[in-house]
This record gives sequence, C-alpha cells and structure tokens, in this order.
Amino acid sequence: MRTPLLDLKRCQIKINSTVLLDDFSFHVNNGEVLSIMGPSGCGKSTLLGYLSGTLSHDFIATGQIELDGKPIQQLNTIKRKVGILYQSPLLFPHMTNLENLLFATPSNKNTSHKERVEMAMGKLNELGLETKAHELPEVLSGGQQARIALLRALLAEPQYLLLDEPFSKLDPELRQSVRSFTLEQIQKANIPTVLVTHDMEDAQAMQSKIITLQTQN
Amino acid sequence: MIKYFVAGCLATSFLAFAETPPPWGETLKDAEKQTVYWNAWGGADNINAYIDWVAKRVKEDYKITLKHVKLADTADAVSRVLAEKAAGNDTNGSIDLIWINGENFRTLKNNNLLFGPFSNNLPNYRYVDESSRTSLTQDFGTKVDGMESPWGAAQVIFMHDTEILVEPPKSIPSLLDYAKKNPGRITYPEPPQFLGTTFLKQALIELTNHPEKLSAPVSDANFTLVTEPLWAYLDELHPVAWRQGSSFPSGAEQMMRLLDDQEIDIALSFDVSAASVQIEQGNLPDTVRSYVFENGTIGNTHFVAIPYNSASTAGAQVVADFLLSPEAQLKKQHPTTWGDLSVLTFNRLPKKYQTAFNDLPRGVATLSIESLGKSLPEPHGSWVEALEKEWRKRYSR
Amino acid sequence: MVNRLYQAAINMPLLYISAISLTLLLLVPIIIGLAGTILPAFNYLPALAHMEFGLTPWRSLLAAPELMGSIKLTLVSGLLATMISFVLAFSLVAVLYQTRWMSSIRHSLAPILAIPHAAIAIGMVFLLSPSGWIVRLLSPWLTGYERPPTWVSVQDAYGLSLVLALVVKETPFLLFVILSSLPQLKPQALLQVGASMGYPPLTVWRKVILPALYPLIRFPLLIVLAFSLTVVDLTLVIGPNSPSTFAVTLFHWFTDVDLERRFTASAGAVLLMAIILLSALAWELFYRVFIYFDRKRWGNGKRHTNAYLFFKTGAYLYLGNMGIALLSLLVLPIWAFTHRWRFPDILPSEWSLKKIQQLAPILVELACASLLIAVVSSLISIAISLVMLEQKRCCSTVTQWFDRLICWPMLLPQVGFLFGIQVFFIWSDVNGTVFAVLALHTLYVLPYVYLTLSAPYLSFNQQYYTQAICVTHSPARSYFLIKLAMLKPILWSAFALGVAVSFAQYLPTLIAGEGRINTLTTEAVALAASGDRKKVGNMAMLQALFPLLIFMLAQWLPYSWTKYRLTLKSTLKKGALKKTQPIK
Repeated sequence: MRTPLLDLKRCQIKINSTVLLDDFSFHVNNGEVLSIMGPSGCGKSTLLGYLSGTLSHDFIATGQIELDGKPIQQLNTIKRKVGILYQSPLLFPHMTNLENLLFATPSNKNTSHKERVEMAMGKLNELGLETKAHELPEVLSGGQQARIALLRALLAEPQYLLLDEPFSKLDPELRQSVRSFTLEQIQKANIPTVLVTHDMEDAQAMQSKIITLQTQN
Repeated sequence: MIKYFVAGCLATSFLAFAETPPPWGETLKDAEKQTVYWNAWGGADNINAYIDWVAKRVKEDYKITLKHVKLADTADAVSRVLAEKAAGNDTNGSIDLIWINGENFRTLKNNNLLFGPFSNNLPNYRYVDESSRTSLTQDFGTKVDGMESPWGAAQVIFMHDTEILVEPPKSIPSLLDYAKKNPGRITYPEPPQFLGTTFLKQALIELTNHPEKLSAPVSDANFTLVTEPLWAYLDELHPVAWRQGSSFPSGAEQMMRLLDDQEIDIALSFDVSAASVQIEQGNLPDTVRSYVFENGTIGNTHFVAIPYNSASTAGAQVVADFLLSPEAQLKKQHPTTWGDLSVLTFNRLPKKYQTAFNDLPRGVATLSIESLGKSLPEPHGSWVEALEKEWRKRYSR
Repeated sequence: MVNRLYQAAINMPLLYISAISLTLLLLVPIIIGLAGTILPAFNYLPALAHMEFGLTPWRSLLAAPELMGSIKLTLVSGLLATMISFVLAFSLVAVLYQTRWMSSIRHSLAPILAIPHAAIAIGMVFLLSPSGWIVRLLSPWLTGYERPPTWVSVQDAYGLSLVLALVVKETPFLLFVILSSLPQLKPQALLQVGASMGYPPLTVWRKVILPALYPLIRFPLLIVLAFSLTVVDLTLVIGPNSPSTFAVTLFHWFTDVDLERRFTASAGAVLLMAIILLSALAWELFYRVFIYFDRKRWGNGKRHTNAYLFFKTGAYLYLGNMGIALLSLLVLPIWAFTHRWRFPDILPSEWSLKKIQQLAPILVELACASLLIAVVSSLISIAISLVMLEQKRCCSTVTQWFDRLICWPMLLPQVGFLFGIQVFFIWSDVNGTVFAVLALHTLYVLPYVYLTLSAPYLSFNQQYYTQAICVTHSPARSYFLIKLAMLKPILWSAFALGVAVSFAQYLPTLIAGEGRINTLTTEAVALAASGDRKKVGNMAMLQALFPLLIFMLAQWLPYSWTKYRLTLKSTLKKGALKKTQPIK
C-alpha cells in the first residue's frame, strides 16, 4: 500500500454563517488524480482555494491539509510548493515561450543558466515546439498553450498539483489529446493531483477517483 | 513691421491733427451711454476699489459705463492694440482707455496707435502746471504732446521693519554692503517688471560715471561704458541676494509679502503710501517704516491714454477728465484709499480743495512730501529696453 | 468602406451630416492652430504684413540667451516628473493591491483628480516656501528659526519644486490609468500562478505585471509627458523664473509688446513640438533598452528581487505626496480667513472675514464666469460626444477621423497652438467674447468627456432601446427616457469631469478671454506667486471647491434621483387620492 501523499482531514468551510463544506476528508496518492465534481456553487472552487492557500479572508476554514504527513494549511501559497492550472493557460503575454518556462525553472547555486535553458528547451522539444522557443505565446494554438502551461507548472517542481477546469475552454477535438498528455505528465512527475471539473469525461479520462459534492442547503 | 504701421496709420493721424476738437459739451453728449473699457493694472485691491468708485461716479454724472479690465502687465494691452491694428480692426478696438506711461506709451505713440491730442483740451487740465514736474511733459524722455492725460505721480520708496533693521542702508553702494553682511536678505523685482527696471535705473544713476548721458537716447551714448559699473555691482549683489539671485520677486506686492515673512529686509515700491496701506490690511507689521535714499529716488508721472481704434473716445475723454478733477485726485491721495500723489498744482486749486488737501491724514508709515526729498528724473525711455535686454542676456540663463 | 459610408448616410441622414460637420469642426481649429504656429515660425503671417518666407525667427530664436537654459530645464523637469510619477503610482499599486488601503485610495482618486492642479500648486507654495506652513509648524521649537531660512524650496533654479508639483498632479492620474487597465491582465490570477511557482507578489509585479502593463498605458504616459513638458500655469506658480521652462519663456514672448517676438515664439513653439516628439521617442527608446536588458532577468528563476525596498519606498512616497496635496488644500482656507499671520506662528494670530467680504463681489463674478463656462462647455461636449458615439455605434467608419483627431488637443503644446488660434480669433473679431472662451474650453473638455463616455455608451444594451421603441413608437422619447436615463451615472461623471477640466484651463481662458473674461483660475494663477496670500487663498479655495462639489453631486445625484422620483410620485398620488375622496 502507498502512503497517502495529500491528505485532507475533516475540513469545514464557512462564509458568514453558511456552511459550504462540512467534515470533508480525502486522500490522494503520488501520481494519482482525484476528481471533485458537482454543480456550480457547491464549493468546488472554494475547496481548491483552500488547498492552494488563495482563499479570500471572507471564508472561515478549519481542518488539516497534510502533505507527506506534514500539515501545510498554515503555509502561504508561495511556501506550499503547489502547482495550479486554470481554465486559461495564463502564459505571460510579453515573454517568449522559452522565457515563460525559464520563469518557472528554479535557480540555485548548482545549476547554471545554461543548464536551466537546456532543461526548458528539453520540455519544448518534447512538444516539438523548439522552433517557437523565441516567439510569444500568442503564436501557439490553444492546445499548445495548455501544454506549455502544464509544463511550466511542473518545471517549478511542485509537490502537488491542482487543476481548475483546465480543459473546459479547449475545442472538443483537442480536449482528448490534452487530457492524456496531462495524465502522462502527472504520472511522470509522480505527484498527487486534484482536478475540479463538471465534465464526467474529464474525470474518467484522468483515470481518477471521483467525489461528487452536493449543494449545501 | 514698423514700416507697415507707419504706412497704415499716417493717414488717420493726419486727419486727427487737422480737425479742431469738438466743444466739450458735444463730447459730454457723445459720451452718454457709452461703455468705456479701461485696461488698467489690477494687482492692488485698493487701486481696484478706487477704480470701482470712479466707475460709480461717471455712471452717476455722465451715464458712462466704465469697465475695468484688470491687467497683470500693461504691455498686454499694448500688444492687443498692436494685434488689432495688424488684424485690421481700426474702428472697434477692445480698449478705450489705458493706464500707461514710459515704454508702453512710447511704443503706442511712435506707432501712431493713440487717439489725440486730447489732454490739453480737458477742462480740468487747467489745474495742471506743466512746469511743476518735467515728467508731466516728458514721459521717460518721450514728449507727451497731449496724447496722454496725467493721472498721478509716483516716487520710489524703500520699506524696512524697524524691529529687525534699525538703520537701513540709504544708498545703492551701502545696500550691497548690507547684503554682503546679511546674505539672502536683499533683492529687487525681476526686470522687465517696471519696478525691477526702475531699480536698475536707480542703481545706474547712482553708480555710473557718466550721469549726463542718461537723459539722451541710449543710441547717443557708449552703452557699455556708461553701464559697466551697474553690471559689476549686480554681479557682486546676486550671489548674496535672496535665493542667490536664481529668482526674483515679481513686483512690489511680493516684496512686501517677503518683508512681512522676514525673508527679506528691504522692500521697495513706487507707491509712497504702500507701507501704511499694507499695515492697515494686516499684511505688514506696524513697525514697518518707509524711507528714501540720501541722494533721492526716481519719480515719474503716470497717465491714461486712448487707443486710436477706440469706439468710445468721447466717453474715454470724459473719464480722463474726471480722473483729473480735484475731487477724484483728492480721494486718490487719501492714504486709506490709495495715497497716490496728485498731479494737480496746489496753488492753482480752488480754496476749498487747498484746505482739503492740507487736511489729508497720512498713514503711520507714509513720508511727508518734504521727507520724500528730491525726485530723480527717469532716464530717457530708450534706456529701458537696452537695460532690460542686457539684464536678460546676463542673468536669464 | 464607401459602401458602408453610403449606407450610413442613407439610414440616418441627419446623424450622418452632424457627425461629418462635427469632425470638420474639430479639424478646423487644429489646422488653424498648427498653421498659425508653423507659418509664423517661417516668418509668414499676412495679418502682420509678413508676406515672405524666411528663417529670421529661427535665427533670433537661436540667439535668445534663455534658449539653452530653459530647454534643459524643460527636459529635466518633464522627463523626471513623468518617470517619478510612473514609478510612484506603479509602486503603490504593487505594494497595496488587494488590500483595504487600496480601495480607500481608489475612492480618493476622483476627488483629487477633480481639483484643478493650479489650486494645489498654489497651496504647495504656501506650504513649502521657506516661510511656508511646514517651516512654521516646526519653528522655532525644532529648527530654531526665528526668521525663515534662506534656502530655496520653491521656484528653485533646478525646477525640483516644479517636478514635485507635477508629480503630485500626475501620480493620481497615472494611478487611475493603471487601476483601470489592470483588469485586462487578470493580475489576481497572475499573482496566484506566480505564487504557485514560489514567487512572492512583488516579484510577480516586477517581472510579470510591469512589462505586460506598460504597453497598455503607453498613451496616457505620453499625455503626461507632453503635459509636463509644456505646462504653463503650474510653472508660473511654482517654477523658477530666470530662466523658466521653455513653454513659459515662449508664453512671455508671445505676450511681449514687441510683435516681432511672436515670430521668434512661433519658431520656439515648433521647436517645442519637436522636443515633445523627441522626448517621446527617447522615452520609448529608454523603455526598449530597459526591456532588452531586463528580459534576461525575467527567466533567471530568482524568486526574490532587490526591487522590494524600491517599491515600498515608492509607495510611501506616494502617500507622502498625497499628504502634501492634502496640506496644500488645507492651507488655502486658512489663508482665506486670515487677518494677520506672521512667521513663525503656526496659525494666524488674527482671523477675519474682512478679506472675503471685501472680495465678495469679484469672487462672485469670477465664480459665476467659471461655472458658466465650465457648465456650458461640458454640456456642449456631452452633446457632441452623444452624436459622435451614436454614429460610431451605427457605423464606426464615419467616426474614425474624429477618433484620431480627438487626442490632438491633449498632445499639442497649448503655448503656440493657442496663439495660432488667437490670430484667427482677432481676425474674425470674436476674441474677448464668451463665445471664443467657450470654443477653446470645449476643445479641451471634449476629449475627456468623449473618452469617458465611449466605452459605457457603446456597450449599452441596445435591446432596451428597441424594446422602448416598440412600446412608445417614439425614437426621441425612447432615446431620452430610456437610453440616456439608464446612462445617467456615466453622463454625470462625464459632466463632472468636463467641469473639472474646464475649471483647470488657464491659457485658453487667458488667450480667448483677452483679460475681459476672467475665471478663478486665471486670477489665482496671475496672483499666485506675487499677490496677497489672503486673496489668492480665497480664489484658489473656491477654485478647488466648485469642481469638488460638482463631482460629489455627480456621485450622489444619479443614484438618489430614482429613489427621490418614486417618493415624490407616491406622495403626489396620496395627495391626489385624498382630494378625490370627498367627491366620492
């Protein structure tokens, strides 16, 4: 049995006096995807905000998030080492594709600038986009942008990944290939992943466990 | 440019000279219901209030509507007349009366842009004795020739706060000595503001080795030779002047404000009653007193003139005449009204007004006619431009 | 395109003709102003009997002793002020974005922008001069000064006080521009993406948002630059005077008795346009060079930048700036009600209403003139904007020239351009009339009103209007009672902005009004440096007060109007019922 890597314990989220989530727990293993589904307003995005540490102060959240057995809910986003992908790829429009990837690549004393460039170029090679390295993201198709955004998130070496409807804005014919690419990369990076979606196909394609939330009344 | 003006104006001015002036009664009749736009410097509230009083009186007596167009600088009005001439507006100018003297008068007169001669025909001109002051007929060396009517007389005075400065310097050289001992406390208004230019002239008169050259046009003199001591003086003064000579006050009002703030120690004004008026208004401490230099200070006469293209020349003449009336001159010299010296000659006045002038109170800080001492004549008008140009060349950078 | 124009002309002939005439009406003063500047610069002005082209004006310009000094001062103050304003405004956003502070600062922006800059500058002179309020507050207990110090803190030869005044004026404007452009970049999402990769917010602002934001605010920055290089009134109030900036030197030449100076001044005005163009190019070049080197840093992977302290200092300086603006506005009414206030007293020793009573007639006259000009020119601008925008909604090809021309008045230096128009005014004998003043004010109010109304007007859901027509069968009634009524809040904001812009105009009033038509601004500026502080205090106080009041009215009225109307209606109804009951 593998150790549960991302563990959410007895989470409760309230806004004013409305309880959005109550006594909610789950665990996700390395390289595994957990899909959270449910109608809009059920608290999916709020939960993601809690997991990423970007929840607005209007919400009151209790419970424990453990990563590798250590509680992280007190840490801010910057220290949590979390990768996030949104509906839009949010590639920085003024930076070239390579610069976008370099932005994420960590720098430390042991890696030279050259090594970092090689690392980022390697990722572009994987996508067959090495010729677009010095062009702006706007020249890429939606699917290509989504892939670069995923690689950028992973280059920052996150310990877990949160996906907020990352496929919903893609054309249907592209969706399948981006889904499988994403799953491939998650398994390669071997980190726990939480996917928020309202599309059952997304959840199934990611071979995930599924939790369906209900609207609290 | 000048050629153009001369060509354009000769015809009209010949006509004006050829005509004999209409009788005064007719002028009064023409003046009724006219609107007179009087362009006059509007920087002092007491003067503006006096002009408002004039407007009220000419409305009552002559049914003339007098509008005060407040100027920051009389040169603005002069340039407007020039611009109107250029634009071919020869009959319906925007200005009917200008408060004027010196350089501005010379510009308008030389370009034939004035209505007249008219001043000698004004009924109240009989109280003026032209021999009492040279500046009544020679406005900064330019012949008046009846093209402007005298309004008031002015003399440069200096002001100091007796609490701070007990024995003020009473000559141009001692002013420099004082500045060297007290850096940053002496200044003068920036030329070409007229008080600033007057300060240059005052200094020039005291410093030059060729004072006799100043009464003739500047072109007759060796400018460099005559003015050399002045520039040497200013070169020494500026480093120890207020704000190290990097900027200068814009006129008498700002100088008095700086005197009140104790930023500077000496202010000057062309208005002999300035100190009293400002003390009364709470703008100066009551320890401020006026004084003049040992060898005298510059004095001059100021006038009103009528542009050639005024549509209300009759109304403008009636206003000019009213300004010359003993009643208006008396009120003007009253220290709390304005305190500007009368241009009328005392012994030509009716008895009633002689007594009234004698009874005028003087403010605490106003000098008597005797203590004002000798009034130095203005240099020829052409010096103004030459001095301003040289000053600008040397210090405007 | 011809086809579409044809269609537009056929469908709404009246609107089409109005739009075309308005475009021409905007084009005419721009052409006259430019021709009236450029032709005299080459010695050609038939009105003044100069019939032959020549280079005399340029020769006398080059020989002018103030030339180099004043150009240097202009460049230094203009570029420095623009740069500092941008840095401060951006730093503040970077440091305080998404905090509660930011929303209160956001609310403070509009009133600050409504207050004419001359009023603040006048207050700054009262505040910062060696005998000013700050030194008074600290003397003699701290500084030991019994008399004001001799240092030069306003009108200094380097123009630093001018730079400060410009920065105080421009930072709120740039802050406003930045805050309204930011949503396009989704800064919140960018900050989260950055945070997920371990980047603290300030680094994201520095590496991601700053370079992405710049292209969005390039044009407003150029307007700020052009303004800073050419401003006259602010410089007259707080700038150095021997020499002053190039624009003020030109202003003095244009108003010189000697008409020949006008030609030199025209040549100078052409040079000033070249200076604006070159400064804009230099600014852009500097940006390119900066980005070229900065690019390397974006991808270096470092999560912390040394810009931290820089941003924080900038943000504090912005707050300091607003403090200065606030104190400057506070000192105006104090002076207005002073009888005696001598250095180093912290407050006046004697207060009095004498000055304001004495000035009452002139203050009322000036305030009425200012208000009349501001209200009428704003209303004209709103009417023109509505016509143009309605045409733009129907067929934007018709208005593309108008859209291009509308920004010219903001970019062209007023000194020069306006004197070019003045010759035309004098020639057509309208100079010194209310009409001429209104025309020039409208020229400067219109761009602001038009740009403010544009987006909300064009994004109005036209289906409301279609619905209304179906019901009322009257296009005019539907337009006024439904479309304009629903656009009420933005119409009021545009009106308030128009009034504020008109109140701030100095040169247009001075040039078209010929000294016959004066406003609070022309009087206050003319007296600022020299005049009686009590008088200036009164004028500047009113000058600040009116736009502020109208701004507050514009905020309050559109929202309470509907409520008020309903209450009124229901009371009337009740009254009517009571009356009818006895007859029953």
